[in-house]
Amino acid sequence: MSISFFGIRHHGPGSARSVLRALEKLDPDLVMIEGPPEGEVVINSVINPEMKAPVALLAYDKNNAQYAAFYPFAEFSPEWQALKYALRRQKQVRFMDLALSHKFALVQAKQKQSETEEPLSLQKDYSNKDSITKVDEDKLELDFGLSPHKQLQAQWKAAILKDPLAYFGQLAGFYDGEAWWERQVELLQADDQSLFKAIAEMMTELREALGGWSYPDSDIVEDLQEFRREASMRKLIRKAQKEGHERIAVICGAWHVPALMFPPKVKEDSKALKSLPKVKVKVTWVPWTYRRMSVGSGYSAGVESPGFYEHLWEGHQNQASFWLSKVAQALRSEGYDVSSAHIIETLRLAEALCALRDLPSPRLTELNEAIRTVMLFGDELPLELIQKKLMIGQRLGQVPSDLPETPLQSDVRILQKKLRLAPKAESEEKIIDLRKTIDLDRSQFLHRLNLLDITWGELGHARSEGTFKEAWILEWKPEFSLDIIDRSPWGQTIQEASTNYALHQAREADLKRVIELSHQSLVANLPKAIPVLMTQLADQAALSSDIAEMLEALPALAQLLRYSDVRGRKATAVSKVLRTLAPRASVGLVHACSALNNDASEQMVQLLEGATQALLLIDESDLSELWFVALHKMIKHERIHFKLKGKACRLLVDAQELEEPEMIQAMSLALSRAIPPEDSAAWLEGFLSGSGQVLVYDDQLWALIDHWVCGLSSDVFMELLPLIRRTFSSFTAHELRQLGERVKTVTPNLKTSGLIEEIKLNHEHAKLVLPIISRFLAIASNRQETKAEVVANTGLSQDQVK
Amino acid sequence: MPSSRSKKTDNSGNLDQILRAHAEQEFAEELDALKTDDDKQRPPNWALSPWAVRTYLLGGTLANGFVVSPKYIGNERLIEIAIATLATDRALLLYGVPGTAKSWVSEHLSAAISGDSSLLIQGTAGTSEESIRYGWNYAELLAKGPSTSALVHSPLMKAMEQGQMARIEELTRIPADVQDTLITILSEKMLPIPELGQELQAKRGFNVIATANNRDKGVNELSSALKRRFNSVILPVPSSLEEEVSIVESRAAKLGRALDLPAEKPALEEVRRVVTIFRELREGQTADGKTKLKSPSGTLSPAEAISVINSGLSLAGHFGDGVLSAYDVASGLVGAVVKDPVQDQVVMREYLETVIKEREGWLDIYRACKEVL
Repeated sequence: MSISFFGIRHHGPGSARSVLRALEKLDPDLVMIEGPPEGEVVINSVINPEMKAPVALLAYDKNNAQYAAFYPFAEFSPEWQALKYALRRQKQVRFMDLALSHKFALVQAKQKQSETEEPLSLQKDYSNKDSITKVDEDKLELDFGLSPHKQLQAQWKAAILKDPLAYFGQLAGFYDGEAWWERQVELLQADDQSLFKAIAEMMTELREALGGWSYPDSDIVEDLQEFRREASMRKLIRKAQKEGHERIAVICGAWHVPALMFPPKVKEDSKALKSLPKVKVKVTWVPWTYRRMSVGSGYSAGVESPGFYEHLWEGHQNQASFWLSKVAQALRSEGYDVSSAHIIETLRLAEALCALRDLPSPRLTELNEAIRTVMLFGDELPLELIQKKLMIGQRLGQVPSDLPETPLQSDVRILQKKLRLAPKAESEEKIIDLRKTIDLDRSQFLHRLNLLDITWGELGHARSEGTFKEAWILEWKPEFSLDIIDRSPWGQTIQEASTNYALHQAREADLKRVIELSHQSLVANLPKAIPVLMTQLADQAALSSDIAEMLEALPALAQLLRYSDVRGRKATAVSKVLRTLAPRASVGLVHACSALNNDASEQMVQLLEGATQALLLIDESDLSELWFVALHKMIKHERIHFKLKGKACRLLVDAQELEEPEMIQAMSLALSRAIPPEDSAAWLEGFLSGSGQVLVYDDQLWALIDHWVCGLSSDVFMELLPLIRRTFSSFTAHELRQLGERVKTVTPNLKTSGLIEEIKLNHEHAKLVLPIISRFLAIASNRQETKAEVVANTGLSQDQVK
Repeated sequence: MPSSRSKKTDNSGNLDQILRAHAEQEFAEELDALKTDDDKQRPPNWALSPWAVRTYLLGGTLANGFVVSPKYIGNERLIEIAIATLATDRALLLYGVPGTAKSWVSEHLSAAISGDSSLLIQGTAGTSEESIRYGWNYAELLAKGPSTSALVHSPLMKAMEQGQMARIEELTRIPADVQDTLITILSEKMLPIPELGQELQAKRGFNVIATANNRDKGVNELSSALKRRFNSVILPVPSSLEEEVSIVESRAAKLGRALDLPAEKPALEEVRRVVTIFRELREGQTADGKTKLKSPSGTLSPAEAISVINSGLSLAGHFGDGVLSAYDVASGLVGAVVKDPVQDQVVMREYLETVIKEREGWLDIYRACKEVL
């Protein structure tokens, strides 16, 4: 009977290869792999043809899915290869570690003890095991009040614990431990049987120096936890021995090897594992991606470049040149000219770098540096372009369809039942009254699903968000079930998943999208997403040099602010963003508005209007003050389109920020003789469009316009007419009538001004054409209109009459 | 016009009278110590092995306890790439915004590798083909006709003959057609002299280190044929605040001494503030990483920070109370940031209003900048 220990680095292709070779040679009758024992239930799926790595083993507390852990595997993970090897040869295979049922229970108990208000929150994407240990680490200093010296030692120890290889790497004079391991193990292509022996020896030395692995006498929880894990592994190995297995292969992180090879007394193990609390744990597989693997995952360290590891795993003869050719291809597809000569020179440089750094063969670092220097002329950016595609890789895993359901699936199922929203294939409308609790929950549920791109419900249009009702169109599609599995890695509950998913999307979104996401998150009630999104919003806003974009953001933000108030949620963050965005928009406004053409001005008019409304809505005097100062500047600025000037003037008038004399001054300036008439007309359009109220009540304005119109030559007048007509058509019928009345009363003045007098009207004839002209001018609906009105409104009739 | 090379022996007696000594003169002692200590393999005609060159540039302690001062503070890997490039016979192009020690690195690299950093061609819009290849001594040419003795060797040609490093400064300022003269030299490692029916084949150890300003991109952009013959290394601006403060402070103090400025040595606090402002604007976010900012069009390199401090010192010394204050640096600071009167002014205003104004204890610099802006 023999036990062989294979200390590996999780996700190391070199380790994977060595392990496989060693297993072939050993031909064990039992393979034991570091991993949660609960996972054995679904272990057979590994060789299911539908199963494609990368995948993750997901384990979670049945009653409280927030406690969960992911164990990701890639094709090049030694554990994965060992699993496949064992299952294919129909050997027994087992996981060994502290059962998660205990682990979750311990974490929960501890939390109850420290009475933290919030449940263990898995804020970091999917790195649950990490976050569990992280919590422990944080508590380390708080709870135990170590003396400074001891604390320092603990820190040092914690640093080594976190990455023991890094420690060796540093000792060997490497930049990082990863590099060292890569050089010592992963890059070794020769079959090296003594490798695992050497690893075991090395780790034994290290761990002995760190105080061994016997029952911890300190009361540091982490130590005890570590001991429990290893005790469980030992216990499981002992059990296997008792069962009479002949050749047992144990595959675990290199760190654990000494503790398993040279076990302490059985008594200590039983002491550590005695009467541990327990919860019920469920396991299943979920699809994973290289991208997520690169972030940091269940097995402590994340893999920086899974794509490169996959390449190593594929095991080509000339790894470096093969990889460089791949890179060259990727760069070519991005539009860079990369020739074979480049590849040769890159390889030469990479090899020279290796010589300078005493490396046997180039690592990714050397290759990247050489690529940058030779192929990309020192530029880093293109490398990032291919980073996602090549170094991280875009591989997406796949799991068989007959697996136990994921927590997210059950969460959705439970919520559907609780909220009485049965999935139906045909579409139905549902009116939701947000004042009722259950309806509010329903609304949130649907909004959250939408955030996850599962569009079961579609919010009906034409309802303003201020009201308390929402109209949803519900239609369940079969692919939603798959989508839910696909989103499972994002979180255990729909709330958590939608939070993480929204944040993930926001990372690459533009300002508008971020605002949209914020709004969605708000209605979906995702309190954890909001602050992050707000920071993102602030960042995006700060980065944006486009004033138009900022102006566009203002109304949405104001609405967000108001809306959050309505729902009784705090939105200090929103107002903070507003407080930075509004002043910046104000500062840059004049500059952004200068030198715009007609179309751009038209857009800007809309933006100005929206922004002003937004600022008035949020009613913060200092913000609006800055804004109005900017508008004031616009009125007088030389290079700004007249339409915008007119609009700015009008906005100020409406906000009662412009005194009448100033307004008159601005208008008379704009309507001066020296100004080209079309500019004046544009000014008028900007100033008057929307509402003609000012004209009705202000005699001076009226007189100014009157004077200007009368001063136009008939050619110019004809030219400008459509524009003025457009302006006036935006008035309400009521206003038009009032204006008409006014024209009637002041017509004598017009006559004295000498315009109309020259034309002798044949009233009889004129009457005949009037109805048609009225139809032309879209004022036909108002039957009460008099001839004088028409004349005044258009001026057209005179020529027509002629 | 071939640049004349100053003979080192001319000046060796009175080094302290020289305004600026060559790297190999100033650090002769270090180079000697490295040479005696160096037991690794040297590429042909290299004065030092690549490992020793690395130590010379990045600093370190030799086996005999001799301490080599660092010449380049920053990313060590870049220097390694540069040395590896030269060791593989590829020409090296150092890219970077102005003031990131490109010429400094090129000088020290050639001093360490060839023991001579003076084979230098300064690239300008007026650099002609003769100054890259060879010219003629016309008196001799007319008297005796084309002959080897009538040839005037360019620094590059000398480098080829002697197997040494040639330096070309500001490569992208040289007109494109003149630049392309380099292609044959770099790929074939030889220089034809058709007038004499001869060619000059470069001795081993010959290589070219060029520097170029990546803000000049597009002025006389390298043809892709030439570009392909260079390995490019981009020298970045310092990565940490501490690093930059120490570079700026020490250089400003050294230069200030050279210029006999009357003010006291720069107040560290003021240097730190200037560097902070430079960094924040350059990186487009505040030092605490909480607020994003717009970046102005200027480069805001450490070299510019040094000159802001120096002009501040001079202001303080000649017109102020001799102590560097916010008001002394403000004008230089604003001048350095606002290079484009419209865009940059908006950037600076925004920065003043949203960041500096809020910062505790920075009111003086806020006011001072407001005054000049």
